[in-house]
Amino acid sequence: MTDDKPNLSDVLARAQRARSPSAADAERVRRAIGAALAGGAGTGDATGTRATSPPAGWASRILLVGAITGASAGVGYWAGHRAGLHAAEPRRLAGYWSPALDTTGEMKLPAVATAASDQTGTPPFASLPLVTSHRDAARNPRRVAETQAPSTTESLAIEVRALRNAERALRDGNPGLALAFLQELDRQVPNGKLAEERDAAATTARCARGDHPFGVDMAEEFAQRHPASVYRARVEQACAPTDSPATGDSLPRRSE
Amino acid sequence: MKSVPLNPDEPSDGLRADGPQTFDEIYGRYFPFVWRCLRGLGVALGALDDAAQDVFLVVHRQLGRFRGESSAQTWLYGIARHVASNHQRRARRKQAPLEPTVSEPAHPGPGPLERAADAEAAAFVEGFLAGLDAKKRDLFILAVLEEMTVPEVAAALSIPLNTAYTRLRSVRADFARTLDRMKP
Repeated sequence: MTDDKPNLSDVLARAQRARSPSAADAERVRRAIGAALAGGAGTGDATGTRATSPPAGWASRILLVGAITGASAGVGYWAGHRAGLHAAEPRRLAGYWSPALDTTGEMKLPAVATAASDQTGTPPFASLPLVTSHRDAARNPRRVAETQAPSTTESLAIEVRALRNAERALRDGNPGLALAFLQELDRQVPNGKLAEERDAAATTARCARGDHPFGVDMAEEFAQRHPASVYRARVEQACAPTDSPATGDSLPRRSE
Repeated sequence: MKSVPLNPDEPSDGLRADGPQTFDEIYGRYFPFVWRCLRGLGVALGALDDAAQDVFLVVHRQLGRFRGESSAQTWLYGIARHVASNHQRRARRKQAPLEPTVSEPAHPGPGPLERAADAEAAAFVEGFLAGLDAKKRDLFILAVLEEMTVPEVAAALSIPLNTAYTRLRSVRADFARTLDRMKP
């Protein structure tokens, strides 16, 4: 401890202060929950287990529900196609969406919300469905699709799905594919709700690929665009300068 | 896997009349509690967003079925404990997702020395929690850190009241001893 004689209550009070979330934490998670619920994630089985509960996270979670899933699979297919990877690596791309829906090879672009419909911000939790079972959605996706608001819900679902795909591609060391997903997302939903997340993922992918203009500090520019972003550290880490052969520095060759 | 405890299947009238009624109210009031509990339960900083989100997704699903026989905190802690367990199991299997690498401090006011002291205290407390068995850890989180009453904690953990008091005295003594060893 930094104090000479820390007492129990002081330590506990300090610890509680440091362990409490910030307003930004609360808002970030709230937005992610709103996105997940809009995609149907809050409507499933109540066991709380990973096997039956939906995946979650700003880029890693959206429930694969009925027609939304089918439509998003089309987005993934289209993105992969545009990236020129479909013909070369069909098996690799297949991992980026539901295996049950990627077998037709047909291009099924979803009916995407217009930009104008996407300006309302994250819907309040109270406006989201509370009791619809995702089992019902799985049984009858068409019926569910008809009952959901197509514009906001679907565009948000597409956004989250694309971000999840981009994140997976980044984790797999494929920033080019991540950018392809993000570019397709920009085309499909130009003014989405998750603009900051998109920007963070795109900047990270560009830095990972070394795709940035000479003398431009991508992380700095990201910080200027989003001064309070919680993704700053992540972006800075991805964009941190590294020695490369082009800099003129060279590591001593290891004698073998 | 069995259902989260304290959430029976039959529908009910919802939360207590004197408690929060809607999801937004629960989220606004208890998000810090859930966040701290998840940290205390050993969820890594980079996975806190996901874990907190999972907790509140379960809350959203089960809100209509919560009978209000226990306090909201007790109910939330049961869910958080379950979610934390799942996250720790998954964390051993896969890489962390794209997440912020640092959590912004909840208290922007204090200077760097204050923050350092707070962070040091938090690390000390979480290190202490990590060394406890599950029974003592739950008790310490709820009774000491979250300052819930012992009867409430005993009900939440389904243990006799006297056991709760005995265990609490023991864990408090452990904490005091550990803290004493830290003193110069």
